Amino acid sequence: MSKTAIQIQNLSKVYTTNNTKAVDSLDLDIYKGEIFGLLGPNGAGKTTLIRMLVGLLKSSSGQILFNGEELNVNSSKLKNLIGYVPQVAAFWDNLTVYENLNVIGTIYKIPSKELKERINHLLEGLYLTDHKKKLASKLSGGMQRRLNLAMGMVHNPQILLLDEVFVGLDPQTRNYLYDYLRDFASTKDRTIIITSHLMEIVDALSDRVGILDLGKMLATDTPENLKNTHGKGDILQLEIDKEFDETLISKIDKSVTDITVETKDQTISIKTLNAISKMPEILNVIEEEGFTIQDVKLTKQSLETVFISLTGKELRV
Amino acid sequence: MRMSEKNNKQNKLVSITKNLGFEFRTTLKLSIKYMKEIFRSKLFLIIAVALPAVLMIFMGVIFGGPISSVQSFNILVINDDIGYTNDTVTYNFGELLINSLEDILYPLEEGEEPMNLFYVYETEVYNQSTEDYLIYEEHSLHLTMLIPEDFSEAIFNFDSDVEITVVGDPATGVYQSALSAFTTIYNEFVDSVRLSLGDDTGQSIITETHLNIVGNTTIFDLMVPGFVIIGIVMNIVFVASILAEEYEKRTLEKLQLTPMRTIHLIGGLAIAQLLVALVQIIVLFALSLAFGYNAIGSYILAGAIVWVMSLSMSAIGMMIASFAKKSTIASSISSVVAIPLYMITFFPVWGIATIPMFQINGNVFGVFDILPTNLATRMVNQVMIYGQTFSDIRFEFVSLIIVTLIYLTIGLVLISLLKLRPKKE
Ligand SMILES: Nc1ncnc2c1ncn2[C@@H]1O[C@H](COP(=O)(O)OP(=O)(O)OP(=O)(O)O)[C@@H](O)[C@H]1O
Ligand SMILES: [Mg+2]
Repeated sequence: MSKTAIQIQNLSKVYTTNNTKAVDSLDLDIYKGEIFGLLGPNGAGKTTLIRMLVGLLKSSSGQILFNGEELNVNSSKLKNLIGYVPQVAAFWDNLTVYENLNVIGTIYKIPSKELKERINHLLEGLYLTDHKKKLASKLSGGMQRRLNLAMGMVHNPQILLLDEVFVGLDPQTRNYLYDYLRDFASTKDRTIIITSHLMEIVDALSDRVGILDLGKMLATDTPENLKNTHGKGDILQLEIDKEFDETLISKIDKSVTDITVETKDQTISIKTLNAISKMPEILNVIEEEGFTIQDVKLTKQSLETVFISLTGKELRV
Repeated sequence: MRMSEKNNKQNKLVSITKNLGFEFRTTLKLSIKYMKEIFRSKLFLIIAVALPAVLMIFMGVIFGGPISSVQSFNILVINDDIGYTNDTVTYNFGELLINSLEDILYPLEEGEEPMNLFYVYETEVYNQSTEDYLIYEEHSLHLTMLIPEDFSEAIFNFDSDVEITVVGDPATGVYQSALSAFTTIYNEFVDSVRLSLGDDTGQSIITETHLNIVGNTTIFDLMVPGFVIIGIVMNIVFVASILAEEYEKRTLEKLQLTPMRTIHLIGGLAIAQLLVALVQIIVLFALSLAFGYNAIGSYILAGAIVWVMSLSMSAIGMMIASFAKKSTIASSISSVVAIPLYMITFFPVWGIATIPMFQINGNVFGVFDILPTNLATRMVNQVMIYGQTFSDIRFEFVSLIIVTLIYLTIGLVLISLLKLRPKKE
């Protein structure tokens, strides 16, 4: 048995209409049982990549293997294996929430009794139970996104591909979804690929993160490793009560290891990994030199800092 | 060993049955989905409401003006004239009449290519089968003329009237035009022959025999199939737009990712359309009855014909949807496509000859028969006006089924090639 759920080999996509290379010779292995977070600025190629993986979009070149096998897009093996929740919600306007899910579930050949239970379970979790008899067109935007989500998960796929599913959800539903996905992936051999603009969620949720830009994977690693290798560390900003000079700076630099110190006006900025653990030492030096600290600001290193340092772009949320 | 083999077989059978059950469940679920969508959508209501209005407009157009314009007429002549011998010269004025009919050309204006006003076909005997031929060949013959044995004699015998019998279907406008053209020429013919023989006292008389079996067939009767079929033709619009909407709103992608196959989708939609059509057929035939439809045939058979035809309309809808990216585009294309399809349902009424494509055992399949609406209109007329039964129209019925299956196959292939494949862009 192969350890990889999906192997992407030299995969490319060129949109001929506008000659855009949306995915550029991509190689990537997604392991069984992991949650893989796909980060990238707008237009990076995330949606394009996912649509090729699920078989909705024809690739220009390259290969995709599922569980080590190349599967035909029309094979029921592939169709039962994957679940896809698109970035743009799609559902039947003139069917109720329940009917929408029932149609999909029936086509997946889920026996009706089991299907009913599954739908009700999903609806409950996604806080849609009260709305299950409403026409989908009459739902609020967030509810429609929740329905969209449920439609991609009703058949309990082994591989779940989620494109921007956290967008437009209230915190309650976000939390449910977060727990659901964690729970989903904890079951043996289930795999999730998720794109999101919400760094904290991707950080907390993903076992590994890939950063995509202009169709190329810039880095792939665990969130921790990414932060450690590409992040510049935490930033500690200290505001001092009176003028200070180079002696203070060099004192701090000497007594605390692995830090970078910069100054501006009355503020000392210290970049370091794990700033909290170094804070007592730093404060000690400053007080010993006879200064008083007026304000402290700590910015924890995050995927966002990694993202910016890799792509050079702020991520629009 | 044998036990396990038997068990294996049984298990296989069970799994096949189970699978078939699931296949059918998929199709059925999709058809229920489509029915819900159709009955809940405004589009369907608009069509259902707009339909009577369209019918009214058509009634006005059809009944509003006389059917005119010159055309050629096909006439069948049974010349029983034995001739008349006078002073060793034998005259056959029957033949002379035929020759003069064949010599008449129109238009008479300069510069235009002249055409024959009459195309004359001759046959020996007039009997029931000739009459059947006349009726059922869909007015490709517009008029039949019987020249009696004593025709030449009567012309020579200046005191007697010269009688001739004309047979045709008065419910068709073409017959009326053909008759009036013929009457003028016939009177002139008799007068001028007698004048050249030196007398003009006798009269020329045309005895008209009406051909229609019902006797009091009205133009409305002949149009009822057209009206019913217009309603069904409109189903193209909602089938096309509902399918194009699946594409436009990307629900088709959701289906594409399920183990659904094209046949399930096509089948589900076709079944939904069939149910809608059933409602339409019942309502429209009931309406026609209320307006005084003189039908002598089986409503069930007529309904069945239209029902089968409706399937081909869903197939046309699918073909259109396979090219359309938006549901509004699909519905406008459908409306345009629908026009010739229901216009043709009135062609038999106007007596436009069907051009034969091929024949099987003397049954003619016309070029226009590739349009299911044409085939169906003709059959419904045959059943309802002339009281034909299933065995009389078996050839057409089978043709309709085959044509419909061809349409459905094309629809299926187009949808699966153009809409259910991974996209290129
Ligand atoms: N159907 C299409 N035809 C032509 N070009 C396209 C098409 N879809 C996407 N593109 C282009 O391909 C590139 C990648 O687009 P894609 O939608 O994959 O980005 P994304 O990473 O999902 O962005 P976002 O964060 O905005 O969702 C973009 O330059 C986009 O303009
Ligand atoms: Mg996207």
